[in-house]
Amino acid sequence: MLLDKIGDCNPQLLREIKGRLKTFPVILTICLSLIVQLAIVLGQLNDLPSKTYSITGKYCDLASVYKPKRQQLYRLDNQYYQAQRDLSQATKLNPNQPEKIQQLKTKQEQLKIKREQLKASIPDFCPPEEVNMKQWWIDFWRNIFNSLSIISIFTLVLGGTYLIINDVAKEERRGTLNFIRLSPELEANIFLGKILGVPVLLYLLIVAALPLHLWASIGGNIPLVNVLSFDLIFAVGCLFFYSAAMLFGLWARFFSFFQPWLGSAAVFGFLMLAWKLIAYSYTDVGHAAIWFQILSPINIAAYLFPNFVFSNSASKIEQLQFFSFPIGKSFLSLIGLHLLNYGFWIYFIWQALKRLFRNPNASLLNKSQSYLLTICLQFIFWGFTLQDFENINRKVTNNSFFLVFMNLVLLFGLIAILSPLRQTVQDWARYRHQKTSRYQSWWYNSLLRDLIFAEKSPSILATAIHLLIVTIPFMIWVVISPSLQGSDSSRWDPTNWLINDVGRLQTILYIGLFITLMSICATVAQIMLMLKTSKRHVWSIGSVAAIVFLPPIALCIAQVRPDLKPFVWLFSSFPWATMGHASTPLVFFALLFDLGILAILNSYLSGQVKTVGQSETQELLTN
Amino acid sequence: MTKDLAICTRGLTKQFDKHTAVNNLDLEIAEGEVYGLIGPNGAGKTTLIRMLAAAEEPSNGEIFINGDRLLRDKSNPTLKRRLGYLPDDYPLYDELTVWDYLDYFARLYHLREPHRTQRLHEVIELIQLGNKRNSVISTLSRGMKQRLCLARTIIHEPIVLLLDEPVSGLDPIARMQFREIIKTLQEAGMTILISSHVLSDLAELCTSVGIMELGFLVESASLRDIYERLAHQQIVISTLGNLEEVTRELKNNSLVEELEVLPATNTVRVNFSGKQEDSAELLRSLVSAGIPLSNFQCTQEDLESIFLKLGHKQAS
Repeated sequence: MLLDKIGDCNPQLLREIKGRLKTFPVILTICLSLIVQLAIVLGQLNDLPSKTYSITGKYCDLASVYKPKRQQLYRLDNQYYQAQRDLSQATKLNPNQPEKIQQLKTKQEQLKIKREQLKASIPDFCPPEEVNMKQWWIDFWRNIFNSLSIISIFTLVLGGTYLIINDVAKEERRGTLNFIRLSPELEANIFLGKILGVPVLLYLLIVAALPLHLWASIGGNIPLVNVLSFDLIFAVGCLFFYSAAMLFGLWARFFSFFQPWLGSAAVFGFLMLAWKLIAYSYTDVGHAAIWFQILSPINIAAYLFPNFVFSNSASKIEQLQFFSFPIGKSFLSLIGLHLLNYGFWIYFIWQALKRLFRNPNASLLNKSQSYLLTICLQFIFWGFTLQDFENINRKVTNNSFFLVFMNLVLLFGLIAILSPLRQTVQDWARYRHQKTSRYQSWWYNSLLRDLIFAEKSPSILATAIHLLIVTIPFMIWVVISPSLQGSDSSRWDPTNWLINDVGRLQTILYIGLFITLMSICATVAQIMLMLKTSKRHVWSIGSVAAIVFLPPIALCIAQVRPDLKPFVWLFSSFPWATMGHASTPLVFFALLFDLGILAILNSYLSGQVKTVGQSETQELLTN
Repeated sequence: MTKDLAICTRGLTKQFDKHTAVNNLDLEIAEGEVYGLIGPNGAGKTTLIRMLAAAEEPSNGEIFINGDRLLRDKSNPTLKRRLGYLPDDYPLYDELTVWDYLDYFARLYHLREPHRTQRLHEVIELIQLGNKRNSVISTLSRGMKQRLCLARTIIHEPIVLLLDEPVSGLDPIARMQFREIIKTLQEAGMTILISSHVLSDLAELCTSVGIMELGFLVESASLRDIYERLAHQQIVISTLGNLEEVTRELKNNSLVEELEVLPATNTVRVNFSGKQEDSAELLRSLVSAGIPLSNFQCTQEDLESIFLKLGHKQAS
């Protein structure tokens, strides 16, 4: 029996299927699928050219002849109405000039005759034998194919995400997931079972539409290899979305009942954003955020399928390169890129899933994984920034917003993920000495190793390492930028401004300020997470947001101009406003000042860690 | 690590902020034992059991199951197959039938046919839910759900069974049924750790008892040892005549340590330090004193009295 075989391979999948594939929901799903398919076909058939099909319609072979005539007619129409307006004005304003009125009347009459003659020469409808039915049928099938594809994308991605978050969150709330955790079944099997089983009715909905989809692709002359490539990418895409949904379900428990809606809304927002990006990316695909854009399956569909919503973006993606490797040129490399991009994210999501499944209180990634993620992401960001090695400076400056924004999201995300809670820090500080061994090397027992790699240690040093990984490529670029600068660059070129007005040393000092300020944020976040209150997350996010946003907002409100008073801005949380207006020693002092604050905060944090890690005896003796 | 220990912990500690739920606990349970864990609410019993089941991460210390170290961040498939854990709440999948539920867990524990079906039949028979095997779980009573959850716990024939308050909230019949099942499991050779407030149940089931208080294991010994050390013989004497005569006669006996008069039933409860021959002598002396005795019953102090006598009543 098939179900039994499935159950032997994946018990989780069997359970999900048994709970869901019941007669009534199955019949309902198939009916719904058939109704939607019928509606799409009927909707398209509604446009079938009839006897009253316009002579200038897309499928009329005579359209090429009559379209210019029709346009001429429109022009005559305009002239005629203009003449009419002129005449009425003349009769009102200049009633004493009958010869002018007469002249206008004659002109109008002539135009009218011409118009009537031209109108008579253009038939309203296309003769049936002149309608290109072959092309109409091809487009008919293509439209059906594209409609089904878009509906499938939205149904599977949105519906599946909602169902999976809801299911995982429900299991976690009820506590049933704990029993699965205690079983020896591999985590990967449980996740796969959920991903394949929870949206099983949605799969049925899509499978019921597959024959029509395939038939439409044949009718629409869409190459089978394109259809299969899309199906493969979309399947991997679904795996990505569903894995992310499962992670969200396991991790973001604090949203409780709101969780599935929030997750689906985020995915919907992503799909719409990617849609917009594709729709407006007619100028360039050479930006560092292209990896984000191609996470949407709509992107590859637009490339693979003719007439798919936006035909203009398809040709642009062919220009895509990665460190001058022409990915977009070949069909295979483009498919490979999509699969690799999904694969990369799926790998890290599954690492987090495994950790969170084993221990719901664990951080999403451990410190080593976070370094790997940061390094890989820098490779991706810079690979898509430097799509070829011509005019590197311009490429970096054009992509600077994306690079800074994506790295900020990454860094703040990693601070949020890796900063341990009070309890975890306590366990680490209290019992660390018991984990050391005199039979091991100095490095094994060292505090430094613990701070860089250990699971429960505070993440300040790890954040500093992330910051270094992120800023090193920038620093290298700043140092070598003059040698990359072309002779034809203008005075106002951003790189020239950076090299000449700001200066490379000062730019590196500003990068140092960035590292210090981010470390301060990480330290403050960690100090807040050590609070005894249960609202420590809110305090943590609130205080970091206050540090980041309040000083610049206050300075803006007080109308303190960075070019006039760089001193004030330099010592705020947004010193970069003074770039080009401050002297190097001043920037250096600002850096020293921020480093001082960082040192004070860290010594306070270290005191806090020591206090929570005190044993009862120590506490007794110190008091 | 000693091989014949089913459960062994070394310096097991769990700290929640400044509160140490389990404090440097060394627990040793030999194979085949039924170990009762007693203690007031908040003593750390549930935390200890959760750590043993790998459902909670210890702050410090080590756990060995049958000599193998249990680590929570590893997947431990072999160790997980040895463990069965029944928490004090027992969430179930309401939409599944009894059979499908157990079949699902049997598969999760990698039981293969034909052994799986055979085991399902055995377990369903053991928990006496044979007539309910095709019923949806939501239609079962609380006691049935509890038994079903126990069936889930033992479906993979674990070597170590961890039961956290398994009889709380059950009616007397359900409790009795549950006790019978535990006895059967013990006969099958499972090592069982069971925490409960119902000490009479534990007295009937356990071979050893541990008392936890404020996160410490303050007592851990075999039940026989505890009775020998701490239980007093009690004699309940009822008379049809005057109670004062009885008490007067009893006070003459040097082996009578303490007297408790229960006038409503014309009964005296005596703590007696003598042996069986001495109690026979006491009976003879009372009869020869002409006291119309209606009852003379020798009993042993129960576990609850011992527990209270030890002063373990402080809630943390």
